[in-house]
Amino acid sequence: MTNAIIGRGSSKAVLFILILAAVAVLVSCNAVRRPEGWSAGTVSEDTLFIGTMQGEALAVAKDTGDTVWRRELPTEEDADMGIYGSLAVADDVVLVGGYDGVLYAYNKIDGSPVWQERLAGRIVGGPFVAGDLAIVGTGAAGSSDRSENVLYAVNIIEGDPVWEYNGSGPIWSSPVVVDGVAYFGSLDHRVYAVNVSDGSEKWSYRLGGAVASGVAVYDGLVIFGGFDSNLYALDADTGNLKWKFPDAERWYWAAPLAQDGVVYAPSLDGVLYALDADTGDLRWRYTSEGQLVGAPAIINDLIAVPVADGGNSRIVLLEKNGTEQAACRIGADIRTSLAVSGDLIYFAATDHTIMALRIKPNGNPDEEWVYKTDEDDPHPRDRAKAC
Amino acid sequence: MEFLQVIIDVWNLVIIQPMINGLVLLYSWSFLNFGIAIIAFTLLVRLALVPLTVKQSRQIKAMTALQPMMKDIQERNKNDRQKASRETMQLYKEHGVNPLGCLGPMFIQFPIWIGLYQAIIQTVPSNPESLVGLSKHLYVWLPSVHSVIPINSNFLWMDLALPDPTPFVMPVLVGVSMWVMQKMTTMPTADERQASTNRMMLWMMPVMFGFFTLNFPSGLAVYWVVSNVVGMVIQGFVTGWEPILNLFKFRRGEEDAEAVAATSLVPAPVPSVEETNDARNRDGGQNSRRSNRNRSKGARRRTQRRRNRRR
Repeated sequence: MTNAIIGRGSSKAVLFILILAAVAVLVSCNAVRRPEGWSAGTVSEDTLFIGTMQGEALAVAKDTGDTVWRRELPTEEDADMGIYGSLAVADDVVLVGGYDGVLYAYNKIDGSPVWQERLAGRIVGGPFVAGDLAIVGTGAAGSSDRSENVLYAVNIIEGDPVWEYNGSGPIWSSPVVVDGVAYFGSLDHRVYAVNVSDGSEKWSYRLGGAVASGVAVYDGLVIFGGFDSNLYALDADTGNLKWKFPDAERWYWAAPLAQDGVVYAPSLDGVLYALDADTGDLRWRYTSEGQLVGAPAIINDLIAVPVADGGNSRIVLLEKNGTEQAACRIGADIRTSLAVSGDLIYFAATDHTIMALRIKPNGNPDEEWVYKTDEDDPHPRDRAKAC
Repeated sequence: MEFLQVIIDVWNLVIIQPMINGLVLLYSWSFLNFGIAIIAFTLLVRLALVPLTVKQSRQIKAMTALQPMMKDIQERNKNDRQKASRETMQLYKEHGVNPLGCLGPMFIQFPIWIGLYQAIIQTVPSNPESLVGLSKHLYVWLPSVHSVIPINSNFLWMDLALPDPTPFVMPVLVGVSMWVMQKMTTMPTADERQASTNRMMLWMMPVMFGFFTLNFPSGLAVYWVVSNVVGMVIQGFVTGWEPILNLFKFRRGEEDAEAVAATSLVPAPVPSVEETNDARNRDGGQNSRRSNRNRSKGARRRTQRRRNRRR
């Protein structure tokens, strides 16, 4: 339609518009977005284990940020790399679930590869260590192929699958094992309880939306949020609904945190809801400007909340009545859950940094160290502290 | 940066969010098949744009009909560009044609097309980042769109969130459908420079979009193919099916090519603007708009050939 016979001037205009449009399309429609990953840290003894956005397993000294070992996942050339879940630490090995669908085991001390096992589908939620088994879920977004949506129990020593539980939707939730039962959510709108001994289903509960978040098991309750913007508490033994909290405006992505009779539930609407664990009644809410993608943590009797809000992303410290005590502006999105050890908080940001904040006795945060994982883009020497 | 953010926010609010929610809603109504949802959405968008498309096609047709007269004006005023320009504008005015009239609808359609591309990319989650990003765009007051997330992106042999795995079927379909579409909308021209531009565009666009298809989610390719097919149908009804029929009639195509070549070599003795005005004054203006525009292309060419033979 654009190149019909029209005047010379107009034909040039048409050509110009076409080129402009092509450029606009290219700029505005970036091709298929590559996964980046947002691994949370796991602290074991003196070491922080975490995945990087370059698809590496990294061990750093938790107090100084010095590298202990760093290992790039041997991902196939064209495969999507990325690490979304936490790394799981067993006696001698560190387990890493890659988005390429491979479960990797590295020696905890020196990072040497021990084994790797290709599983069906992709791994988004991290593995959970239960005795000599690693429990991990798989599945790709939008896939209804049952063979790709599997909960695996993998022997930690050999790396062989011991049993498989086939779900009807992708399992992106990190499983939690309590008293021999693995609890996890699925994008098929269900939460499952599966016996770890043999992989048999104990119960399942259907809700009105997908479940990507991990679950919190607390005081006989399985607590989780879904894409239907509801927070649920089920009886851990029977799977019966105990209470439901419907006030959130958007999905729950991160696992809730429960302590001292209170459930802290972060939602993508940017609100942290504090609920009574017995009844589900709202105690207070903290509203941020951004999204709460990662899970909060308790440190020094304060609640640390990662707020993802682009350049205004920050770690907010709340008192247990919901009052903001302090905040540390990070300057890049924080999508990971927080890891805590002593009075230090650890997290990764989307500017390829891993950061440790020390929470002082007065509740104020202080940057302890920063580890830049992208060596091609090092921090400037005169970089000011985040807080 | 603030200003840019405002533009992005407005763009998301006005274009992206309605499109994403519309797509997801259609998905929930179309047996949870995203391929069908994209096809239905494309049809709805093209349907909504029919008035603009038809207007655009008519403008192009009208401009085409004026070409012989414009060529005559240019030749008569070779040394006086200002006069040529004045007479050309007069000609446009006389025939009720806006020289940029065919560009207006195109300008309006571009944001919709680009928005649709973005909406499709953001609606089919290819990884956790895109799924979290999608949550921001779904309407809070429309619970039914939340309940069908994540979208099942499998359609025929494709994952609509990823490029065609074959990887040539969709690029070829996009390229061929776009070429046919271009062929239908490209009218023969007497201006050699314009003909050269037309020939370049006829191949450049299909090749360019075929190349895009190699890298973009195949959901976009489905949109492009359906959109082109719908465009062909609309164009066919407005300006005729001759260009597409010519693809299958080699002999007829040859004749047309000869006719066009003849037109380009020998300027048609079309009446000047003054003569047209005289004629209009004589018949009281009743037939003023019944010149070349109301005659079929074939009839004009037959007359042209007869004139050429007489010479």
